[in-house]
This record gives sequence, C-alpha cells and structure tokens, in this order.
Amino acid sequence: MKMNGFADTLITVFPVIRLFDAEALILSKYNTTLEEWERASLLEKRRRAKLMSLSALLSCIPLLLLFLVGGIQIIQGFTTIGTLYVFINLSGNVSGVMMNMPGRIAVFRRFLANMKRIEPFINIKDGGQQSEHIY
Amino acid sequence: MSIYIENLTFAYGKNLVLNNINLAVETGESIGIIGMSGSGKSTLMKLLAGLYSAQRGIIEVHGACTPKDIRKNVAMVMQNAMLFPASIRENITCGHPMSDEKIWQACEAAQLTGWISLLPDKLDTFVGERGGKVSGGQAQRIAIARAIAKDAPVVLLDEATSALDDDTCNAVLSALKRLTKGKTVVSVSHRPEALTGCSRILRLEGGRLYNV
Repeated sequence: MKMNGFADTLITVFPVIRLFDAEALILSKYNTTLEEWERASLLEKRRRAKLMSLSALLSCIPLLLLFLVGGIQIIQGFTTIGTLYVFINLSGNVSGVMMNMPGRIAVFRRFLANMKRIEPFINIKDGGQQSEHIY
Repeated sequence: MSIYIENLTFAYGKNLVLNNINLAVETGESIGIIGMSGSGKSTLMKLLAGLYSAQRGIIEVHGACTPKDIRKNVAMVMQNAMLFPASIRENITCGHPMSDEKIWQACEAAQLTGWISLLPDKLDTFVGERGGKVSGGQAQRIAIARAIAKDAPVVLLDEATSALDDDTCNAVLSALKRLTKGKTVVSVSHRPEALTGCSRILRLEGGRLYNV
C-alpha cells in the first residue's frame, strides 16, 4: 500500500524531478521507503506467524481437557472408552463452531464496514421503494 | 534574446494545439500569456521548460536549444505545488549540495522563514506525501523557494496563484515578485488580473499567439 502511494507520488512529481534534476534525491527516497516497507512487512509476517502458533496451541486445550476429564472418568469407572470416543467425535460440532467464532465475527464486521461505505449511495429507509421509482 | 520561438507547432496525436507560434522575449522582460482552458498555455510552458520536445520549429531558451539544456536555464512554478515526500530542505535543494545560508535566503525571499522557525524540526520538517502536511500556500511558497534556489535566468509561472485564496495569494504574489526580480519571466493565467506587472500580454487562441 505504501509503495503504491510512492509510485503515485512519482507520477505526480515527475515534471519537477526532470526540471530540477532531482533523480538522485527521489531514488534515495524510493530506497528508504522500500526498506521501511520491507521492514514493516517482515514484522507483520513474523507477528502473524507467532499469533497463528499461539492460536494452534490454544485450540488444542479444549481437546486435551476433554481427554483429561474423560480419562479420569474412565479410570474411576464412571464411563467407558467407547462413550468417550463418541462424545469427542460429536463434540467437534460444538467446539468447531466456537473455534471458528472469531473468523465469523471478523467476516461480519467486514460486511458492516462495507455496508457503511456504500450507505451514502443507497436508500434502505423506505424499504427500497426509491429504487422502484428510479427504475 | 532570452527566449526565441520560431514556427513552433505541437499536436497531441491529431489534435493540433500550437500552430506556427513565433515569439521573442528580451532578457529581463516579463510577459504574460492569457487564454481559455485547453487553449495550449500549459503545453507552451512545458515546451519552454524543456519538458516536451518541439515537433516542428525552433525553441531557444537563454542560448539552449535541446530540452536537456533548456531545463538547466529554467525554473518553473506550477498551479499545484508538487512537493517531494521529503523534508523542506530537500524540497528546496532537490538533493543538490547547497549551503544552509543559501537555503535560508531562498526561504526568506519566499516568505517562509517565520513559519519554518516555529517548526520543531525547522528545515528538516517532513512535508508529507504530496505535501499533505503543509497548507496550499505554504506548499506553493516552498515551490517558489525551490525556484529561487535554482537561480535560473528564466522563470516560468504556470497559473502559480490560481489555486489559492485571496490572503494566501497576496503572500505568494509578494514571494513571486522577489523570485522574478531581474529575470526573464513568462506567466500564464486564464485570469488577466493575475498578469499585472507584465510588460506585454499575449493571447493564445486557436493555437496561435496574438498581441492584446
């Protein structure tokens, strides 16, 4: 994004670069911006990798807890291995939804942001009646 | 003779913008060119600045005939001050070695000294992407300081005050007066009142220059 901005600036100031012989200055600015962008993008990738590792670790915790509690119950004779096996398999239906919840919330928020962006251009207060008038 | 144009013709594809233009400007003379939007004023300025090459005819600016040599003899202030994403200092020097004294002199002539002295980083203040961190008037005066620092014998003003409000316009006009002192000046505007102080005013119409 930052590099796109720089390319845009380059096109805008092109006559001034030619007129004032500023090629060396703009090249050094370009290199500085490129290095900054590279550093920022590396930092972002590193942070994303760390968060993904943490997320993978955290997503294992419910299953491990289930094994722990289920294992204790089997040892104590309250339940059988078969029941635990079936329970763990079925529990995916619940835990899967819960684990995907942050992603679903993010999608919903993105949808809301997009709606806000197009809100000035549409009229939803009259239940779409205005659209009928237009067409 | 500072500027000499003979039989200059220029077209964008099939659209003929300048048709057989002839012009002679003496050293130290200040001329104004008026014309409607799209009449070719900016194209003529770009040719005089060495940003475009003449398709037919001769352009001579302070003895230079090739665009590369012409650019060395010309300083130009445009309608929208085009600033580099760099500091005020770099925008004035354009990366060329220049003493602080000369930079401050250019700032003084462009009436920037008061404002710059109040900034925490003084001349090293970053002006933002496309001058986004400074006002239109300040950006225009930085562009004027850049033109002053270049110290070229020919100054081209392409609608230099058109985008400014009245108060800012007066400050910029006063800065321009110092920039153009003793230089050959060609000013272009679509408003005749912006060309006061010119010894001659010409009108560009239908690709040709007429005396007003």
